[in-house]
Amino acid sequence: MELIVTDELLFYGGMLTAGVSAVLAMFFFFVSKIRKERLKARLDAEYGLPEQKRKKKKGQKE
Amino acid sequence: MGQIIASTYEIIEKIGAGGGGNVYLANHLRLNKKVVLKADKRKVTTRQELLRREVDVLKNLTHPNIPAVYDFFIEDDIVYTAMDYIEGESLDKPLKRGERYPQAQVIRWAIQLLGALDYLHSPTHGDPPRGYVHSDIKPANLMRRPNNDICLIDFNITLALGEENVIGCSAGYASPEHYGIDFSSDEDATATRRTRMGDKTSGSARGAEAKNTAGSSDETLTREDPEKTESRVLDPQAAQAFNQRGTTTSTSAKRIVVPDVRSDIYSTGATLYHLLSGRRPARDALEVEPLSEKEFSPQIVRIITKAMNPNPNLRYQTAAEMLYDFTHLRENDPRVKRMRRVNRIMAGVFSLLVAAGAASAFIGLKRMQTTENWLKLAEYSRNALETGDSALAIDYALQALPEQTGSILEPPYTAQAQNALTDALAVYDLYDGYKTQGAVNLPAAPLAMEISPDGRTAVCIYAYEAAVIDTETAQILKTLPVAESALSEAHYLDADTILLAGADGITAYDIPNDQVLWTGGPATSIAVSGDGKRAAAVYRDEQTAAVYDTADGKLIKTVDFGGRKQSVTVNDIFANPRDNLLALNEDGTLLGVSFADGSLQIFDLENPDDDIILFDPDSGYSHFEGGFYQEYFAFSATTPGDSVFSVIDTVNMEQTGGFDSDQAFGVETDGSGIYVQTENLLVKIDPVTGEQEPLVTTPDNILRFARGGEHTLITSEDKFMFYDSYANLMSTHTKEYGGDFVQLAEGIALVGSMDSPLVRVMKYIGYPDAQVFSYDSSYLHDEARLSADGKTVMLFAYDQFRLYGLDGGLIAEVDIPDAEQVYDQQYRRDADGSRLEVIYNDGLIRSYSAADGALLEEQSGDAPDSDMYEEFFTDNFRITSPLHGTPAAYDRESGRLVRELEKDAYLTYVTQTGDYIVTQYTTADGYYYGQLLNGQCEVLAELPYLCDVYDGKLYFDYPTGHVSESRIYDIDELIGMAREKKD
Repeated sequence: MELIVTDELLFYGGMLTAGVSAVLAMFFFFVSKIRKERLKARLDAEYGLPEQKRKKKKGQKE
Repeated sequence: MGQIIASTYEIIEKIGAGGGGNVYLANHLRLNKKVVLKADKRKVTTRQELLRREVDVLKNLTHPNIPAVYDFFIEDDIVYTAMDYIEGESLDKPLKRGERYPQAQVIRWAIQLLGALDYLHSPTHGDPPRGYVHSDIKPANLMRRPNNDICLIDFNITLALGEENVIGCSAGYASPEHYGIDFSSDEDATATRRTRMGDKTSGSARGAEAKNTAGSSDETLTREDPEKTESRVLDPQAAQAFNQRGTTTSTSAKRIVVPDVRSDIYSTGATLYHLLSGRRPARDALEVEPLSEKEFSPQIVRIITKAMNPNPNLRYQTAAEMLYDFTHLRENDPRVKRMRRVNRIMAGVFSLLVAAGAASAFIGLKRMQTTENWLKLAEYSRNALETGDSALAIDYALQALPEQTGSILEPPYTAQAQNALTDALAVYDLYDGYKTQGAVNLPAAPLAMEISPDGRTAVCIYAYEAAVIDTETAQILKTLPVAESALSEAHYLDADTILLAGADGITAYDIPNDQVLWTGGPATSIAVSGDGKRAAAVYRDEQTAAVYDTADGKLIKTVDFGGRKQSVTVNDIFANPRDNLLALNEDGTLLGVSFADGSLQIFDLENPDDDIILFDPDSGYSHFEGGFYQEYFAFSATTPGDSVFSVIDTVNMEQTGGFDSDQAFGVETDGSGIYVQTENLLVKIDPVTGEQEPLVTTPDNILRFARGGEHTLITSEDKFMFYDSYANLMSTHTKEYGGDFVQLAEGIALVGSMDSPLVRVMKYIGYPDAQVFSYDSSYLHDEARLSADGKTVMLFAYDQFRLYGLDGGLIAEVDIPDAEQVYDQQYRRDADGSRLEVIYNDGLIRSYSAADGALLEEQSGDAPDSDMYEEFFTDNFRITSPLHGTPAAYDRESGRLVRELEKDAYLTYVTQTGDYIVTQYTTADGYYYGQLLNGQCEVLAELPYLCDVYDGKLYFDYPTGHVSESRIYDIDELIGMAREKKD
């Protein structure tokens, strides 16, 4: 089957796409983790700690 | 001692007072446990049995946020309820002090409260099982324990669901149903509330006591102490009777409703409202100011607003529902949802990109690998073709062109593979000449080779066997043991019989019948008479020759060499058989023998006295070649730096011709004549007149030659060439190995080497059907063209041209005037016909008709550029042809260099025909050829001797004086042809 792009472009372009996407995905993962933690802290402040965490914290305090 | 109640409880102190009575801390005298004793002074209208039963159920409630009820009794018309003492403070007290609770804390209490309500409401208590409504939920009835948990208290007026009972009406916390107001028909009570709030002209209603404008209930609520719980008797039967009247005096139909779990939901919402905002909600449900979403979480506001919907149908229908929303705040938080959504989308996008990238890389890699594999196979094909194995070359090429399945993993065919297949099939090689048929792979490199007179078989001697070969199939038919000597020979007696130096002696072998006819004495060198009836054999360095009758192997005579022997080294494994001469004449009566001492003698087998001594011993010559032709004996004797050739008339005993040279002479004789070679010449010599007929003149020295019919095969240092009877070069082939054996007979040629076990088999193939025109090959010309009407052929050079009809008849022969001033020539075909344009340096153009050769016109024009630069255009390419430099193809639109074309050749023409481009070249030594290119200017086929492209056909002008025609084959046709050939 003849394609519009060359086989080399498919290969190297594909590698590049996959690589860059993987790197961006990792970057996004770390960023979203940070955002998630921040939101969690905010939600903890608004809604209070989940019951299990509260009991655990209380147990640690005692 | 304090007051004793019911002989069981000792009042310790009064700890509170409410709308219904007082609350005491008491000591259970028997259990010695602190309890709370609630004394209710209100008039009890509920039947005692019913109260008893409810308390009996209530005291069985077990929930961490509900105090246990122990006892219930009436004393002195006062209803006492004994329950758990809850240490702590009710939530209303801090509110009164102006304290506010954090939202997170309120949520936690909400969960506890709703858990307790869910438990209370569930119809699992008592017999028959039923649920209960608290009906007086407010901050004052929520006790805050030291551990910060809350406990719902004051079950004094807990209402059994659906039953007639006393209900609480704490202002602000009580649902509209508590006041007998029914908003259940108001589809959007919240909107009504908002509308009414919007109608208010006063400022913030925070803290303001709204004027109660209850619904159309018959009762009008009056301003009352907001801290007090107003008791109201509710008669469900009266409510039912009222509702059945069906008439109202107000616009919104209201009916008396019995509070249910949704009332508790309302109260819970109102309680949470107060706990969060610090202000009690308005008594009128329609005038409750919504909580601010800026101050509190929108979800919380939404939950409380829903819980406090005046329309009970629009509230949470169960505590469990409301509890669910509180316990799933995080999951339902729009920010969490948005984050999850974004994460999902991004995960999907990245996954897709990675997968797409990986897939693309995989596809690209597979295609590249496949292409590389195909290129390798194409290379293998070329290599096989160079060694002469065309069958293997076709096989490899076919492997590089597998059937296309249309899979994306499959790249398109490579040009190299197509080129290899085209070459292997030789479809564009229409030259009448010798083409490689195949190759025989002997077990070892040959030492001697002989072809049958009819060319159908050959015998190759290697160490130490003789292989009989079928030249048609290039297969070994039979192997026979031979004497272990480099001198061992084999000769054909006739087309079917060979005579070889067998291991057991000279052997006659019948090829078709696979039968040994006879075996004689030991032999290595063999000579056969011209008539095939006699054979002479010498064994190694023996000093005699045996002469046999080839019919039965009978020994006719033994020839004594007089103590001499032929040239044999100590170890004749390495002897050079070509140094010795052993030959019989036509009828086997004369035997020519050379000896190691340099002597050469012709033995007369019938009259020994007539022996002819040509060289005495110690002549100095060490290498002898030659044989008999008729009555003549032609030979050469060579020593380094000196060689003589001579022809002896054996009848008249005289030399008829000869010459000498410092270069070696090669001599062969057969039934057709005497052939002599020296340096780069091969001639046929008339033994009588000495006249020489040139057969071959080559640029290089001739190493070996063979004659077969009208053709001659010669080898030089790196090539072997075929010549026709007119001494015209037919074809040139690259030679891979040195040390040659060449044999030629009846259109079959064998080329072998002592350096390789491969023996190439070639066959003369003619293409009479492809020929469109024949002419005298001696006429020198540069180009050949066919006219557009297909009637004439013009052969032209810069100084002259000939015009022929296709029947070969000469129409015109024209000398071009001022030929030394000719710049270029162009053959034009257009609507006006075909003509030859001769362009001169000064710009003059003379046009000659391709119909009759007549001068059509002379035209002056601009002098052409002397740099001979030309450009050609196809649909997609601009192709440049510099005089010096490599022609190149550029994309016509972008100008990008697409490909460089053939180096070391001058591009003369470019023709686009369909999807193909045909380029024509000429080399410095006058060789002209073409290439078939695809749409990317990749070479699909070599077109040797291409002279013209017209009307989709290719025309080839061969030096043999033929013009042949071929159409262009597409790859599918070529593959089909290859498969047929393979099968």
